Amino acid sequence: MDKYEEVMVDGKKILIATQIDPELIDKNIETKELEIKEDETPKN
Amino acid sequence: MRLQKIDDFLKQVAKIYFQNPNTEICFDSFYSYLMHYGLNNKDIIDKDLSSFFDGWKDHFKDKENISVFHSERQRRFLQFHNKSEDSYKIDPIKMYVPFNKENINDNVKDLFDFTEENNIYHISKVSDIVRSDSVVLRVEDIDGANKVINYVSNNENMKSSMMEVNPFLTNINGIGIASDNNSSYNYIVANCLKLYFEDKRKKGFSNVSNEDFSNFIEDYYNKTFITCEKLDSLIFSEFFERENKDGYSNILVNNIRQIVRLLSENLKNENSIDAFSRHYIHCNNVNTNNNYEDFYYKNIENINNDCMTYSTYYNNEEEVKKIEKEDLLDSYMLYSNKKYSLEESNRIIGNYLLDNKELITDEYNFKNDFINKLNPDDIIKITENDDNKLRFENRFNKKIRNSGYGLKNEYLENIKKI
Repeated sequence: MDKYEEVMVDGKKILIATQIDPELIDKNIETKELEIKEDETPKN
Repeated sequence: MRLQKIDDFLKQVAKIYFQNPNTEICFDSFYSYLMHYGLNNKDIIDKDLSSFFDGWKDHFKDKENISVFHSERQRRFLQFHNKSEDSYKIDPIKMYVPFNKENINDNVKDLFDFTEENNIYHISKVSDIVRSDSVVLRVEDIDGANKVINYVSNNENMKSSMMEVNPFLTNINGIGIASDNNSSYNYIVANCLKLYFEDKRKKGFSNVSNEDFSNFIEDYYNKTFITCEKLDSLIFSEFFERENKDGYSNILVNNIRQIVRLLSENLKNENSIDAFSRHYIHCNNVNTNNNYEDFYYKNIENINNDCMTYSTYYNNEEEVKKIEKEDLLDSYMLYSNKKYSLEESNRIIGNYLLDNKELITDEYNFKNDFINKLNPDDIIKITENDDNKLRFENRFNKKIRNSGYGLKNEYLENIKKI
């Protein structure tokens, strides 16, 4: 889901993220009541 | 030192866009810059932390005061919650503890063992990848924050395995501190950075600096939240729409205002602990109120307490009473939808129309105010005359209240079905 773009800065190639997984964003949302059951824990 | 790091960061980012004029300036890039701040190549390549999740769940599974679990609403984090979390009454203090990967397994166990043994109220999480904000604690108050800071600062293993938090945060002994209510400090900072560099692309990158960014934020704050010249740009932005999924735009605007204010303090003060404390106390004075007028107006009109008050616009007593009734209903719906659900709010108001007043909460004095000011006939009149939406002359209030009316209209539609 993440997308990167290669750019040149001072003659060096670097990658910058142009799209990130929205779930990476640290939001203060209610999480308790929607707990995932043990056997449904997602793996990355 | 911290301000110099901000200056360095801004100048490095300016180079990217100056030397690559076709590269899009987008929000995700800036959130990513903050997330990866201070990380080296090894951290980025060997970034997985999810392999520790099962071990952490196992370590804490029999502990009395902590619950460790995965939530389907935040799949990229493992949750660490004090079991008394429901006792929260105020906006928590957010703390970023940037442990490196090498020692994060033990450090996370030790840190949450400490909070568990001391029964510190917190709602926390750890991300599934290494980032400058991998470990995020939200503690109940300044006292809880101080306990965590003292513990980490006196733990040699932790001190020696800290990376850097991004320099836009208040920094206490390497721990990043923020107060961001329902939003996210770094999320808002990333958006401010995006706006700044969009502006620089038009005007030139030559004077990019902390001082210039600080002036830009001050100007943005004043024009968005004080004079409201640029409030439309915020409310109708894609960024705001993404944030406003729950529809509480009035609260969200206030939330963003507070975060931008905190950012502004962090850009001006090298040591921002005192500024943060003052800011935090101010925010809690605004956010925790004991009657509906405070709940509503301090979240809406006192966003801009310099230039508008309720009574400024209305001297007509009858009109004021009418508005008060509508505001009371709006306030209750705002509260009730947030606390319960739209369906439950409909059920409660439906019962009230049938003269059952017991379901209206005493909190914020809603029940007394309903009984004294808003009888069932008033609610029916309000619902029948729904064209009278834009009561306030002020453009700012119109924009905010339109969203509130969206909620109300949805509720009214449902009322008709009861």
